Amino acid sequence: MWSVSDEALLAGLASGESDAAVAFIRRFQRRVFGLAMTILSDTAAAEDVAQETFARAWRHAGAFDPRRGPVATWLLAIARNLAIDTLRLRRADPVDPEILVSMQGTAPDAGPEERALAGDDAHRLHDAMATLPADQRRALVLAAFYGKTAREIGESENIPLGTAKTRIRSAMMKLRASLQVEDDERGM
Amino acid sequence: MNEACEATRELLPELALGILGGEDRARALDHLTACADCSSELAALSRAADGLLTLAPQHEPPAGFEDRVLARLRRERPRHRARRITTFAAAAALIAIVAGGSVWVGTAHDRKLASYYQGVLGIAHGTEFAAAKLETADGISGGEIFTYTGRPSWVFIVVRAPVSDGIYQIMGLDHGLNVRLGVVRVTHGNGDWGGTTTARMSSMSKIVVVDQNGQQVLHATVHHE
Repeated sequence: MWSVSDEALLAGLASGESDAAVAFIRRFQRRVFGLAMTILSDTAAAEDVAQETFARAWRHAGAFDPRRGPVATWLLAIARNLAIDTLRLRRADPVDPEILVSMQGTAPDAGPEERALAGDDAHRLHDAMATLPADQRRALVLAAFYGKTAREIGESENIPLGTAKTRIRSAMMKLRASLQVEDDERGM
Repeated sequence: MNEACEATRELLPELALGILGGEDRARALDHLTACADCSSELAALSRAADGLLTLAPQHEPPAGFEDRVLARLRRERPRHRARRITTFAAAAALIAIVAGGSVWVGTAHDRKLASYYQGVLGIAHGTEFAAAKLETADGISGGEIFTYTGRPSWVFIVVRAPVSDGIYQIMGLDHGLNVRLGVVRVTHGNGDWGGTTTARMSSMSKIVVVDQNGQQVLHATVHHE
């Protein structure tokens, strides 16, 4: 079952095949729950988010477009949005974004295509994150993981709105460039 | 790259991260419907933003997680269908009530509801509130549209699977004339957009959702009083 592609498993999940559903959950549960825990720091809330993420994947599998990225990033984006909604309801303060700096990328049980695609992206992004100035990295993590707007980041970091926007933009352009280099090397 | 591109490029990192709101978001989406270069820049930035999420540490979920998810999927399958039917029935009832005095009203509860919606319409000089299901050419449900004719008139649209992620224009057909109402971005299978419009919503017979190549992906027939 592990040699089955992520996309095939997603299609199986959507069509109600129980073997595919089990394999899909097993393949992604550590990453989905891990992301929810990173954002929420609460086991019960993170499980609610992780469960809902799989339910949404099942309901909206038809909207998945492989041209726009691998299954894992699609699924994690769903988990992120749900976790941020929960965070806003709880009005909880996010954890220190510095803990995310040491993050490691590719999963040992990632699907074959994902290892080829997202795995490379993950390592590139990890390295690019490590080279960002600390203030840009904080701004980026607050935006990408906690859904903080530039205005909210300005307020929490005690900096003008324009500065917050510049930090987010500069960080994103560097990350984007790190992936661009990879594509150029591959001749894409 | 022209001035509009330069202004949009400033906004794209925040749009890719999903933290851009309000007028900036509307302005960026508006430009993106007509600019392939900026759309491809957004795709590259979105790849970086989404890729970041794979860096989060993995964590084993609590024991029994897999069984609980499977049980939930089994439970939700019939309920999901029932809820959609109920929502549509409620919308249909609402349209019937809002359609006004010509509708036979059976119970005290219905009369109260009709009076309530007349009051709601009165707040913004409204003459009509309508809702319709958006469907693909194959008749598969892909969202809903709500329109209000008043001062101001407004439109609110919800788009979801099976529509693919992307940016779409919302067009209204007013006696054979195409009127552009707004732009909706679908991300991870969900999108919504709402805004005021100077278009006369009560004379829109059809609403269509069109992709960047001009292909119609969804349509709704709007029934008026």
